[in-house]
Amino acid sequence: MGWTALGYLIAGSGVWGAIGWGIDAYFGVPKHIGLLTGMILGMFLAVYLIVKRMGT
Amino acid sequence: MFLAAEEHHPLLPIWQEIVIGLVAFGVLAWVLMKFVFPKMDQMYEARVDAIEGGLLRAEKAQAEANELLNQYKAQLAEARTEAARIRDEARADAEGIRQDVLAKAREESDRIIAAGKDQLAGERQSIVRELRTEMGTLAVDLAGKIVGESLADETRRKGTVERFLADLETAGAK
Amino acid sequence: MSQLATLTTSDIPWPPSTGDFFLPDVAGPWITKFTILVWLAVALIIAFFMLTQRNAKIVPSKSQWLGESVYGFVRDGVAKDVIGHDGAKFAPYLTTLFCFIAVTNIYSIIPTAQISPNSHIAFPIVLAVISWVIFNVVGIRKHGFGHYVKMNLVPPGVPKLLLPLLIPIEFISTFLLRPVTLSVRLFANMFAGHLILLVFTLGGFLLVGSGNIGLAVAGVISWGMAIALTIFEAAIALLQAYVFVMLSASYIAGAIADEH
Repeated sequence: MGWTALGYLIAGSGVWGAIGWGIDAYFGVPKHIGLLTGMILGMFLAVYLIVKRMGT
Repeated sequence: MFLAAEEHHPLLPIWQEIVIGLVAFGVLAWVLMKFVFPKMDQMYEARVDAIEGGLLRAEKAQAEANELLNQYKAQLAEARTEAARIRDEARADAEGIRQDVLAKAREESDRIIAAGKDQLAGERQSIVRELRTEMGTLAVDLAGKIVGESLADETRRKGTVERFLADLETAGAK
Repeated sequence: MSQLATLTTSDIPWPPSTGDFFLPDVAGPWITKFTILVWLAVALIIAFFMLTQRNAKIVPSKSQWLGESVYGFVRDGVAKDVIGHDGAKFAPYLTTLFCFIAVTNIYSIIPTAQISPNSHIAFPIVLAVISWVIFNVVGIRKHGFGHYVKMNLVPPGVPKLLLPLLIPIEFISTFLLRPVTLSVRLFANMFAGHLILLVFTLGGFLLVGSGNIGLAVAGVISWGMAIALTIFEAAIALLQAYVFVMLSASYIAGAIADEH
């Protein structure tokens, strides 16, 4: 159970962080704003998913 | 031994090892799943069967024992009521017999008393009758002797005697 | 001690590096210490079960009980416990997996072997991929491909607008991260365990051979640590085998679970 939650957190921040990083690279966004936004968004989504999947 | 290929990155798999790993694990899984685990499962099933069968048998034996016990209890109760019934009957019989005997005894004594009374009465009567005839004869004989005459005439004699007796009775009654 | 010292200081490779995990081939890339150890593990496990289970009886002998208790542990303690009633079907695979990982892990503390094949990521990858294939196949068989994928990617009771954001996370965590974490966890534990034992053992040799009394005492303490850590490593070896099997079972359970 704990590992599933951890997996969601890693996957969440990983996926959206990577997409954000891609946007940074493609559009030349400065200071990794895309990456950071993506990671934070991913974290939120992961928490949301954990609650939905495992919360009663 | 420590002379190693330093340049190999530990997170990169060696493809020959992947093949060996797959084949080795495959062989292991095949042998175990073909020859070992089915036998173990069978053994497990047999064991469960044996235990469950044993339980069933034990349950059956228990049920039989219970039935037997109930039967014995029923028989015992029956015997008890039977004994009580017999005892009651015997008591009733004894009472009846006592009553019977008493009644018979009473009857017998009554009968004896009655018979005695009857006999007494009969005897008295016959004595009276005998006395009567004897007295008549005696009196006639006496009178004949005194008077000296034979009273041949029966009718006359009878009348005389009757008269005499009646006189005697009236005299006795006085 | 002085003889040991002269022997050690010059020959000990220090510090331990990842190179210590890639030993020269015994005979070509197909026959190495690692592959030999793996085949030996296969032979040992088969021999163990064959020996303990021949003349199996309803009332088990001691050795038969030993063999059965390994299977029973995985069947009752993992398969039936995690997967439920259908779990018994997966007990043979999970037991094979458990025995294979346990034996190959235990090599790390067996003298002359001293290293687990699982410290080469190839073997954990093989095992993780097999578990991955199995849980996906049983899931697809039970629910059908479309339904199974939808079940795993679309969380219930979520607004449609959020789905494009969530589906990639679900996909990565279920279908990619699971086998990766499964293999990396096993690999990293065996890798780190071996490295730590190397540090304390080789470090002990270095310290004892340094000629300085204080450092030599530290070296002896270092060996004591190595012995303590060897016991610890044995526990880790079995624990990781258990964790791997437990997680495989829980993935299978998740794949064949009915929707709630």
